[in-house]
Amino acid sequence: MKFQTINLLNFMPYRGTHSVQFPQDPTRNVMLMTGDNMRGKTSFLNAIRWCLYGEALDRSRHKIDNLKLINTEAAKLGEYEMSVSISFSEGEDQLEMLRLVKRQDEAQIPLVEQHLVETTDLTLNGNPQTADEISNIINRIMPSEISRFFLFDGELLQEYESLVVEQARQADQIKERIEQALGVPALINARDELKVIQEDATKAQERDARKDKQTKSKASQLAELLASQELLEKERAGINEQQTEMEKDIGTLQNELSQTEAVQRRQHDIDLIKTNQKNKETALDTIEVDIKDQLKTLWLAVLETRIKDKVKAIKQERDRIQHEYQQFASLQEQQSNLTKSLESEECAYCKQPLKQQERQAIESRIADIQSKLGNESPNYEALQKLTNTVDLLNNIKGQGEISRVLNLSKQKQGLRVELVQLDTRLAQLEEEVKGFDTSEISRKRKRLDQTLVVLEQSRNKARELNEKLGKNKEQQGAISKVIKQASGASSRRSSTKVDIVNMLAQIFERGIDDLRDSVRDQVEQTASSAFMQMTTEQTYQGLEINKNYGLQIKDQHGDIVKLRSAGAEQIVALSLIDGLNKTSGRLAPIIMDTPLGRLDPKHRENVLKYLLTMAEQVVFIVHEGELDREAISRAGIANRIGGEYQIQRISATESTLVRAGA
Amino acid sequence: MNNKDQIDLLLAIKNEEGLDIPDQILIDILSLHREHQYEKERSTLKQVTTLIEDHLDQLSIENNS
Amino acid sequence: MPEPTRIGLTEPTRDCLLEMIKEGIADNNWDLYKLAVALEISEGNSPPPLPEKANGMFRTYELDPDSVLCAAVENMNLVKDNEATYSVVERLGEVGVKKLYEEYKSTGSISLDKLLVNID
Repeated sequence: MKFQTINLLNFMPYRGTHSVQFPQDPTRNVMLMTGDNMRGKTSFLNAIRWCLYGEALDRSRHKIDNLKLINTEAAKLGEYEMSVSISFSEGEDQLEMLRLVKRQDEAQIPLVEQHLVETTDLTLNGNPQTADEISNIINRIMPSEISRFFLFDGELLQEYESLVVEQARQADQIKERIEQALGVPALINARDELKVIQEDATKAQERDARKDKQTKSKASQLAELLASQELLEKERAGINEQQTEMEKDIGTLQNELSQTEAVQRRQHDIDLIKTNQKNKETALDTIEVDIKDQLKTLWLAVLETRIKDKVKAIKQERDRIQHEYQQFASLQEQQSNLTKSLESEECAYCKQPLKQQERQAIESRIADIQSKLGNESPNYEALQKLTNTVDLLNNIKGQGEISRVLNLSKQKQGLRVELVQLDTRLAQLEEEVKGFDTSEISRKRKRLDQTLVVLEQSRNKARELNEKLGKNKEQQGAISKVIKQASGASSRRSSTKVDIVNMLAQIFERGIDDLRDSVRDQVEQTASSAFMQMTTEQTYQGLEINKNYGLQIKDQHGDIVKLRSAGAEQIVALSLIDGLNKTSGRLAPIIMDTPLGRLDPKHRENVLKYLLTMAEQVVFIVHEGELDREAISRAGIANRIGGEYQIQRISATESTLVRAGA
Repeated sequence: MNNKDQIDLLLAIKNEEGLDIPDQILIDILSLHREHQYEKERSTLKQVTTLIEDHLDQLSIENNS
Repeated sequence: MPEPTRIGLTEPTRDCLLEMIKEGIADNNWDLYKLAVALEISEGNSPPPLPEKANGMFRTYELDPDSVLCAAVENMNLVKDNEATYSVVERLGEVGVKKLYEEYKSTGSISLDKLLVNID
């Protein structure tokens, strides 16, 4: 397949007519389309997709209604005609495909899809094709299932990352598409039809066997098995139908939930905040209770602090008077003993008669003591009073209430600040989720989880049924053999037919598995080779494929590289694309929107050089920052550029395509 | 994988399993389905049935002669 | 000077105390009143006379069974000659409760950390 021209009329941002010529020279097979973000790069890709398959996709890969595809400015002026036409060749054949949309009723402004009518025209070598054939012809040349590998949005590369996770549901869907692209459906369809023929053939054999005495009993066994098979197949069909409904439901729910993912996250945060608030409020209440408890005796602690110096002073005074009192008492005792000595004429201590000299000394000592004792005795009352005061004031004793209360107050303050912060955050989050029915979102989430569980159970049931059907078929096969060996001429054809169909079904059945393994190996080899040419890390050994076509990088030891950068992901995905393209055996232009976004300059150079070899025509749709002149010159592709267009802004809702050099 | 590769694959399986059916019927059925595999409304069931019936007729002629 | 057997607050100040208790500042009148008195004692200032008659809501032997308040007030030299100690306690309580109430009214609570940090 080789594109020649694409013409656009009022498609997305392209108001009026626009035309793009694709390079035809194989030595200058690169076309560059440059434009800033939101100017129409992805819309160009969508134009091709829409023309060929009737589908333009948004960022979530959902179909965009035709009404929304018509250029806004054109619609404002009442111009509701929109079309895309592509002229291209496939081998020796020349084709022109036109898809056109216009309003049903010229007098009515289209408000819903039904107000528009869509038509398609395809000429093959100048001969118009019937409407029924158009889709078949396009799908023979470039099946829509494969188109995603040729019409390539670099920003959606991450969906291929899910292939690495073997259980990911998205991986199943992508794997299915990959297998469709690689021709597996041909074998699957053949096998399925052979099974239908097999069933009819077995019934015919049973009918013939019934007529023959030799094989009558075998015939009735076969009839029973066929009846049982019918029931099992009916049950399985019912389960398949349920599964389809559930998968549809799951898809819808996942889609709806993904659109509200941000809301769900916020709701989760809201719930967390509310729990946090509750805990902090409880903590605050506990602190309040503690503080009130401390208040009961806090007054004592306050007084103790204030009064401690006073108490110290009073104690000192008390101790001074006490000391005075003790001294007084001691002197009094001495005086008494000395007086006794004088009166008894003998020493009070040694009991010896006093000499004159000793008498005089004692008299002198008594006079001395007398003068010391003086007229005033220590104030016993004051001492008592001071002692009582000290005892009283000693009751003013706190138990650390002040430091505890200060600590609790600090905690209270902290909690209050945190609660205010939580309130603010909560208000912010609640504003963000306003308008969304968060309880409805929770219900959907719950329903999704439940449906996934039921789906899994259903799949288990289906597996059981398949096993039973398998056994049933085996038994049928055995009986058919016996019937064939024993049968007369009349049933031979039916038996032979059963034989042949069984063999064909067996071959195609095994062929499916072998084909899957074979194409996976081919994809791995090709992708690995592509990867080694694009990566700058030459110590890597290559890529390894899993059963979902997920590719993993092998390091120099052959171990899987666990953590990959965004750039590495991009190169692995590009390698997969190349592997799939080459394995599919299709030759078609590769049109890439933002293929280099996550790559550093060195990788960009490598990738650019390799991308040129991926197809006969390569179109890069990039923004300036992604691919500048320097990068082009470093990659040595300047002389491979056969056409260049700029997507220029006219207004927020209008862009134009300008050929460079025009 | 192109048509030839898939044919080779099926023929290899046939030989491995030691199944006695002509190569041509395998080739015809596969080619038929490859051509129509992406069509929504296929008429291949009838055509496959015809291929098988033709083969049975051929066998019958060979047995009688 | 004979000591009064009952002391209390003036009517308006009593209402202030009751309001603070109602709002949960403290569990009962006594705890808050004694704290107010203790805080005023620690200020060390002689309290002014009461603006009007007080209501005698507290029995002194119940309020101060160990005569601790009495001892504290006397030893802080807040009692003048010929003054009953508990009359001084009463005046201290009047000033103390009013101050706490002013704080509560302007901030919604009593800032114990502010009140205590100078004492600790």
